[in-house]
Formats: sequence, structure tokens, C-alpha cells
Amino acid sequence: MKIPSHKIILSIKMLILLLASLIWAGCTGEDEHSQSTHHSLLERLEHESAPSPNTNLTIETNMENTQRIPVKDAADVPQFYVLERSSEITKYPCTTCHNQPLARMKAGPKAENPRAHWDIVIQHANADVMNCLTCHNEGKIDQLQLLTGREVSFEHSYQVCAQCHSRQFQDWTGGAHGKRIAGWAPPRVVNNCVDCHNPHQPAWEIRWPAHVSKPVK
Amino acid sequence: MKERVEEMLAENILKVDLEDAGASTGFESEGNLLSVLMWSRFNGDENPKPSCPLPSRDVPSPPPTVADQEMKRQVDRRSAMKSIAAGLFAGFGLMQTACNPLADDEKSEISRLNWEEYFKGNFRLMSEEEKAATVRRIERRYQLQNKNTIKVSTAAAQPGVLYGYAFNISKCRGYMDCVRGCIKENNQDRKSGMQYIRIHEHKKGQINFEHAQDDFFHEVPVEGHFYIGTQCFQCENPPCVDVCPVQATWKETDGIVVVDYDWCIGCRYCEAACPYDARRFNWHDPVVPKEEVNHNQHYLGNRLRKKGVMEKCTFCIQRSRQGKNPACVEACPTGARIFGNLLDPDSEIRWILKNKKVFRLKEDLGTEPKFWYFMD
Repeated sequence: MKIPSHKIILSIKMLILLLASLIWAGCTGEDEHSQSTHHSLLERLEHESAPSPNTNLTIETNMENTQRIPVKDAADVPQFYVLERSSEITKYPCTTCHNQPLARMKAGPKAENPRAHWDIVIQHANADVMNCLTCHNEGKIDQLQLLTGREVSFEHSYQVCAQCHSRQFQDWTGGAHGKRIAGWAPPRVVNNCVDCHNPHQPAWEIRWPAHVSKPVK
Repeated sequence: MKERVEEMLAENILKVDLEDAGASTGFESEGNLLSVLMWSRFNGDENPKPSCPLPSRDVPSPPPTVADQEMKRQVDRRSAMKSIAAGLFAGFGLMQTACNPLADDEKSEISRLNWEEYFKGNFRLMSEEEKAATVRRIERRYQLQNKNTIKVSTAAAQPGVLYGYAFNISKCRGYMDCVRGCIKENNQDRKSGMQYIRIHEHKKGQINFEHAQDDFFHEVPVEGHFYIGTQCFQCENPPCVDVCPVQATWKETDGIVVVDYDWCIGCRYCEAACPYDARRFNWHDPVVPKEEVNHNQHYLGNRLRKKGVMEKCTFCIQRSRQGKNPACVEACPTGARIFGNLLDPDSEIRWILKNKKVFRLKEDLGTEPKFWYFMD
């Protein structure tokens, strides 16, 4: 039996068409997935990360005139900053009032020495562990102090907290604890411990929520 | 109806009105013809003057009038369509003018802006000039309607940036400051109480969203409970994008999944496809009090939406592309929310991924959310 030549040509043409369409489909499929050549997101992070700062964005414009101070004692992480604090304290320097030893001020008649700091109640650890002078430096009242007696300025008060709260301090230096200021872009400026926690009563309050959700049906 | 018209005719009101209408529109011949035809129809006259153009067997047809000739003229399909379209257009214009007796330049400008806005393309296909033009129209329209200015940005994604988010379950106390901040920042509909973020109150000992409460209103945190926030996780493989039939939603190169509100047809496929309940639909025209509108807007972010379109969390694209943190991160007083650049090895989010035990919701789906949970 003889097959007519035009039928052979036709079948070849059909075959070519089929192949072409298959190749085309394959190509477009690849195009669609060309963005995600990685198997997982973490793999992508590994391959595409570039040394910091890898973006032109910066928070400098959001910072306005606030002065930032480099954080000490955070060796394992890149340099980050806290805000300047002394100028933010309303009754600073402390020596404006504390111009004589504490014992003498306490002994004096109340009329001449009206009680300051009456609103401060310490609810931080217990009285056996902490009193005012655990953190405040009696000799140099404009400074704080560590347990060893080393002086620490108010800017670096996190060093005082870190003595007991070492785990929180580690998370804070890494970025898992605390709060960033002005934005995500570099440089990294964060709240100091006392910007969120009242050092005299560091626990968080129980309060009403800021918003009521409508029920979801 | 007939009696009413006859009454009006008796008082000589309708005729005057019709003639006035014909004269004032500038389409005198059509207007007169219309009035004559209406006259005969409403009047119920057996032998109207001028006569009805339809030939009648009983009444001998009168000599052809101008109207008659006009009605019997042969027209081809194309010119018929043309004149119908022109008529409709003119009629629509007339109706608008008639309905807005106080129509002034501002109103016509708003109409023109709306008209031009209607024919713009998908945001991804726009050239820079077209983007600038649509922004100009949106800003101008807002200015005309509200006597106030807004700034709409079309800032593109920065190279070398991929946004990621971490949520510290140990720190969240259910204060809902994030929700409040989000609603204000993103101009969300106050009427329906729309919110991108949900805070779920769980009993300790389980994480079951079926049994969690997300409409609580009591002092928080409650003893024996913990709180988890959910919102759009900006998946690396977003199922919502795959199902959109008109490509009105897509993933930007910095990882944010966005919606073109003017291209969305409101089919809500994306809402159904999202495994995380992250997408919201505008059932009504969104209501935002004028004094609460956030004027710093982005075309793909918090610009004012309309009825019948989808919207969602965009990690506050209008803020994050300026280097700022999203409003929820900024509002959170406890520091439970951490935001940053995943491609920056020095970022906080990368430190958390490296040093904390993190998890994501429904990880087995392969959606790869860029939103991790962790505990202290």
C-alpha cells in the first residue's frame, strides 16, 4: 500500500507544529518561575543578601535634630544607637537640689527641704535586693552606678539594667526586644530600656484596649 | 397620566414647557418635532396637527411634511449607529446639565477627571508620564471635592530590599494600639469597622484559631490567655495573586503584595484563595471623616478606595518605602512587632531568624509568608 506524499508532508507539518507549541509552552513556563530560582525563601535570603547597608534609604530625614549616642558593650552585633537622655530629664542635673549629702538632706526640717520625689514608689524586685542606691550613685548623684560602684551616665542606663536582665539585654542588642526609632532603614536607633519601662515600676499595666473589633461572622 | 397631561394642557403649561425646552437646548427642530409628537400622543387626538407620520388606512395620508421626510429617510447601519451614539451623548450631557442647575467649572472638571480616570490602564503597564498624570488627576479631584490637598506617591521598590516582619507572642498584651494605628494610617472604612489586623485572644495551652476570640473588649491581658496578631503576611508564593483573573494584584520586587484599586473588578477570588484571612472587601463606599484622612498616600497603598474593590495590608507601603516602620510597628507600645529588610544581614529581623525559634502559620502550604512568630 502506498501513502500519498501530500499526507506525509501534512503529518510532518503537524509534528513540527506540535513540537513548536510544546517548546513555546516550556519557555513561557520557565519565564513565569524565573523570579524564584530558589527552593525556599531562606535560600533566597542566603544568596541575595548584600553587606549592610545595601539600600539608599536612611532614617536620617526622620530623625530631625535628635542626637544619638552609640551603644557600648554590644560586641557581637553591628553598632547601634540610643537617644541622648540627660537633656530629656526634667530636673537634671540632680545636683541643682542634691547639693549636700543625702543623710543631711533627710535630717533637715521638712519646711526647709520639701519632700521631692514623693510620687516615686519602688516596685522593682524586693526591698532586700534593691533600694534607690542600687542604681543611683550617692557620691555623684548626676550619675548612675553599677553593683561594683562603677559610674554610668544616664545615656547608658541599659548597662545598669543588664546586670540582672542579661537575657533581655542580649535580645535588645540583637533586636528581638525593645523598639526601633524612626524606621527600619539604617542607622539602627532604638529606645533605651527606660524609654518604655519605668525603672521604679517596670511592670506593664493592665488596661483597656485602644480599639474594639467588630465581630467577624 | 393622561388626565394629568390634559389638565396641564388645559392650563397651557405643558405646551409652554415643551417649547421652552426645545428653544433652550439649541436643538430647535428636534425639540419642536418632539413636542408635536408628544402632543399628539398625549392628547389622544384622532387627527393630530401636523399629522402622525404613520400612514393610516382610514384617513387619507396628508402631503409629506418635513418631519415625514426625516422619518422616512433611508439610512445605513453605520450612520444610524453614529447618530444614535451622538444622540445618547448629547442626551446624557443635557440630562447632566438639567440635573445640576448649579453646574460650574469645578463640577465639569471633576466629571472630566472621572472620565479620564476611567480609561487609564493597569498600574504595571503605565509609563512614568501616565503615572504622573493619574496622580495629578487623583490629587486634583480630591482638592476640588474636599478643598484640601493630598500627596499620592508612586515610589517604586528599592533594589536590595525585601521586607520581613516578626511578631513576639510573649510581648503582645492585646492592647490593640496597632489596630488603631493601622486604621488611621490606611484610611480604612470607619462605617464597616474594617481592620487589616486581627488580634486573637487564645487560652494558654493551645493555639487554635477556631476557639480564639478576636472581638474581645475587656481589660487586657487576661490571666491565663495570650495574644497573637494576624494580618497579610506578604507571602513569597501568594495564592491570592495566582487566582486574580485580571492581574489587579501582584507581588512587588520588595516582597509587598499590592492591589491596583482601579483595576480590581471585585470578584473576591483572592479573598477566597488567601489561607490567612488577610484580604478585605469594600461592600460600601468607604467612609473616612475628612479631618481623619491621612494625606500622605501611595497609589498602591492607603489612597482612598471605592465601593466594590479589594484591599489589604501593604506593610504601609507609603511609609516603608520611605524607610519608616509600618504604623502598627510604630504604634505598638510593647515592642512585639519587628520590621526590617530581609536582605540586610545586619537587620533585626535577620538576627531574630538566626537566634530565635521562629514559626509561621500554615507553613505546610508552601506559601512562604514573610511574617514569623517567636517567643522570648
